[in-house]
Amino acid sequence: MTWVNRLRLTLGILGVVALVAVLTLVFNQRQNQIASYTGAVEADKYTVGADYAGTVVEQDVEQGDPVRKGERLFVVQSLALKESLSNGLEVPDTDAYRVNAKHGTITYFAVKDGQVRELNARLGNSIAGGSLATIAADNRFVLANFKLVPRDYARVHPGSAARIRLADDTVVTGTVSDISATTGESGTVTTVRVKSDDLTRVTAALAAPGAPVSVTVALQDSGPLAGVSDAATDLLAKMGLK
Amino acid sequence: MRTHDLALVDDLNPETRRLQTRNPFSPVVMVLTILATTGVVAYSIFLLNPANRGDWLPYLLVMAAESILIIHALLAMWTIMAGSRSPRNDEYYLARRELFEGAHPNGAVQPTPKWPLRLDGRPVSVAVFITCYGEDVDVIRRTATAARDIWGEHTTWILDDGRSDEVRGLAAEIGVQYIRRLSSGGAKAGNVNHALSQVKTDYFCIFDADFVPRPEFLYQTLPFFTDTNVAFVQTPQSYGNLNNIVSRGAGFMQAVFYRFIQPGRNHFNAAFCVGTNVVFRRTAIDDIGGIYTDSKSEDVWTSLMLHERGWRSIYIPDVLAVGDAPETIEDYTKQQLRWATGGFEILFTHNPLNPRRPLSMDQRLMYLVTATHYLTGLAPGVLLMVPALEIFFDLRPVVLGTTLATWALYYAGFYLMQILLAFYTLGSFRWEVLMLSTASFPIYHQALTNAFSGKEQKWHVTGRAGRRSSPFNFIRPQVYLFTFLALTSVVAIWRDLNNAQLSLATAWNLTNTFALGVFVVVALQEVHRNRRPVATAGPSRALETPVLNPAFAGPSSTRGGLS
Repeated sequence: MTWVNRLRLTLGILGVVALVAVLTLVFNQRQNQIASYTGAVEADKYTVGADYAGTVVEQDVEQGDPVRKGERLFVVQSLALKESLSNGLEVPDTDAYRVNAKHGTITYFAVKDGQVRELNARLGNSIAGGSLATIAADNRFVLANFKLVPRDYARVHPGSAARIRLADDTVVTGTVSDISATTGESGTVTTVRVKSDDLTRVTAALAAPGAPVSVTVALQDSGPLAGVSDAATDLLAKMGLK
Repeated sequence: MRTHDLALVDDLNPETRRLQTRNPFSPVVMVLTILATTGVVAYSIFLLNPANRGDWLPYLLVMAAESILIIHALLAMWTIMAGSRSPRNDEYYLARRELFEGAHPNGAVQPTPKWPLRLDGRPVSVAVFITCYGEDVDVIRRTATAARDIWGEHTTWILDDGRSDEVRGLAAEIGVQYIRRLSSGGAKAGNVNHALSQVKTDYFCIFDADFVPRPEFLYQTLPFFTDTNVAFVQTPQSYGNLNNIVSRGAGFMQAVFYRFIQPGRNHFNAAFCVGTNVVFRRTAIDDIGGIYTDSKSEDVWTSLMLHERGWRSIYIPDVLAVGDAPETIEDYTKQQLRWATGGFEILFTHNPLNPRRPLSMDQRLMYLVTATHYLTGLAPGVLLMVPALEIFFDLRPVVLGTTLATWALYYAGFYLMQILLAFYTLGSFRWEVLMLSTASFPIYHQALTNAFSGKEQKWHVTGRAGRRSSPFNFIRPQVYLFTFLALTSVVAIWRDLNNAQLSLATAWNLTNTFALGVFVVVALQEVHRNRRPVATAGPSRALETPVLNPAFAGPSSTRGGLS
C-alpha cells in the first residue's frame, strides 16, 4: 500500500470515528429526552355550587365574563334556607358565599380570578341546588401524555425541565410538577403536568384551555456520556448555536 | 455414431449423466419463478401501502433502492421465462452435419484441427485470436495450445499488447502466429481491430488469454452462421478457479446471467457479446467499422452497434471455454468497475429508449436492463444506511405499529423466494455472492460518477512489477463503511440494552457489519498472502478441474466483457 493511501485510509477512518461520535451525541441527547404524543393546555377549574334550592334573584355575570376574586356572581333566594335559619341553624360566611338571614338569600362570590366557562343558572331560574357556574382560573399548565419504558419513567422527576411547543411552533419553558401513570388497553400512559409562567404571557388563543401542545421533557442523564453531552451543549451555547 | 458430439457422459457415471439430462427450464423452475414473482408483487404492495409508511427520509431511501431491485427482479424473471427454447433449429443441425463434409479421411470419426470447415457447401476460413496484455506466459501457453487444437481448419494468433519477447518465443514454439502492434490505443478493441487489418478470414474467434477453449468450440458455434443474419455466437464463461472467496463470489454472481438471462435474451435478439469465447462474422464487424473502441466495455457496445444495424446474435449456454474468475480484490474491483462503467455509459450517452436508435422494443428493453443493471449494485449501499438512521435518529422506514411478523412475511416473500429460486436453479446458494454484493456498491458508485463525468479511473497504486499491490488501495470506502457500521452496532446494542428490547435495526446493522467484516478479513488475508513470497499458483488449474458442475461466470481477470 502506498504511503499516500495509508495516510488517506487513516484520515478517512478518523473522519468516520468523528462522524459516529457526533451522531452518538445526537442520539444520546434524544435518549435523554422524551416527547409527548398528546398534550394540551389546561387550567384549574372550580364550580360555583348551590347547597340550597331556590330562585336566582340576581345574576351579575354572563358566560365568558372575566371575574376577579371576590366579585359577586349570583344572589339566590331560598325558602329552605330561611326555614333552616329560623330553626336556629347558623351558616357562617365564607369567601364563596355570604348569607343574608333577614331576606333568606345567599350571595355567591368568585374565589379566584378567572373566566366564566359555563353558566348553569340565569336570573329568575328556579334551582334545585348543584352547579351554578364553572369558572376557569387564570393559571395555566400543561398536561402531556407519554408512552415511556420503565427505565425512562424512573428518570422523570418533579422539577425536570420541559419545553412546550405551542400550536404556532413557539416554545416556552416550564418544569414538571406532577407525574402520574395509568395502564390501559394501549399500554402504560404517563401523564406529566408541566407548569410554566410563560403560558400566561402568550397569545390567549394559543394558551386557551384545551389548546394542543407538544412537550419534551429532559431526563436525568445518568449515562456514561452525560459529561460529554454537557460539554458539547456548553460549547454550542457559547458559540451561539444553541 | 458421432463421438465428438460433446460426449460428456462417461459410460455409466451418474453424475455426468444427471447433468446432461438436466432440464434447466423444468416445470418446478417455472412454478418457483411464478411464486417468486408473486412474492415480489406482495412485497411491493406492502411497501406502497400508505398505512405502513414511516418517516419519509428512510422510506424514500428504501423505496428507491427496493424499486430498482424489484423492477430488475421482475424483468429478470420475465427474461428467464422467455428463454426456454433452444436457439438451435433444423438449419443449424443440418449445417453442423455438413461442417466437416468430405473431411473424413480413412473413415476417421474424431475431427482434427486440420479438417477443412464447410458452411452451406462452401469452404470457410476462421482465425482464432488470443488477446494478451501482460499475462503469465504459462497461462497464455495453455490457452494458445488449446486454441491451436480446436477442431476444424483455422489459424491461431496471439495478439500481444504486453509486447513480451517470451510470448513471441512461445508462439514460435507451439506453432501459432504472433502479432504485436506499436501503439496500444483502444485497449483490447484496438488490439483486435489491428489484427483484423492483417488477418482476413470469414470468421474470427476471440479468447482472453486465460480462457481455454474446448476442441469442439467451432463445431458447436459455426453452424449458426448458416443464417446469414447472425453476427456472432457467444458462449458462456466458465471458471475453473473457484477456489477462494473472491473468485467464488465473483463467479457465482454471474451464474444466473449465463445460465438463464443470456439464453432468455436470445429471444429478444439482445444477447450480447462478453468479450471472450465468442465467434464473429467478419462482414458484420466490417459493417459497423470494427470492434467498438470508445469504451472499456467494447463487447457490449459492439453488440449494441450490431443490433442497431439489424444483425442477429446467438447465445448458447454450453461451456466451450474455461477460464479464471478474478481471484483478488484488485482484479474483482477493476472488473466490476469496467463492466458497470460500460453499462452506465449506455445509459448516459446512448439511451436505448431513444426513438432515434433503430432497435426493436424487445432490444430497447433488454439494453435498458443492461444500462441500469448496476444500479441494483448501488441499492445495497442505500439500504445499509437505513438501520443507522433508526439507531441515531429514530427514523423508521415503516411505521412502528407494523409487527415484526408482518414485515418478515413480506420481506421473506421477496428475498427468500429469490434465494430459493437461485438455490434451486443453480444447485447451490453461495453466501460469497451476498457478501461481495453487499461490499461492492462503492465500485458501482465510482462507475456511475466516472460514466457521468466521462473520466477514466486512475488508481493510486504502485506499479504491477514485483509484489502485488495491497487490496486496501482499492477498498478504502469499504473500510470506512465497516468502521461506521461496527461503531454503529456498538451504539445500537447500547441503545437496545437501555430500552430493554432488541430492535430490527440492530439485527440488520449487525448482519451488515458482519458482511463488510468478512470482506475486510478477505482483504487482510490477501495482504497476508502477498507478504509471503510464494510462487504463483499453477497455471493449469482450469484444465485440471473437471467441469462437472460448471459455474458460469463473468469474464476473466484480464480485459473481459460486460455482464
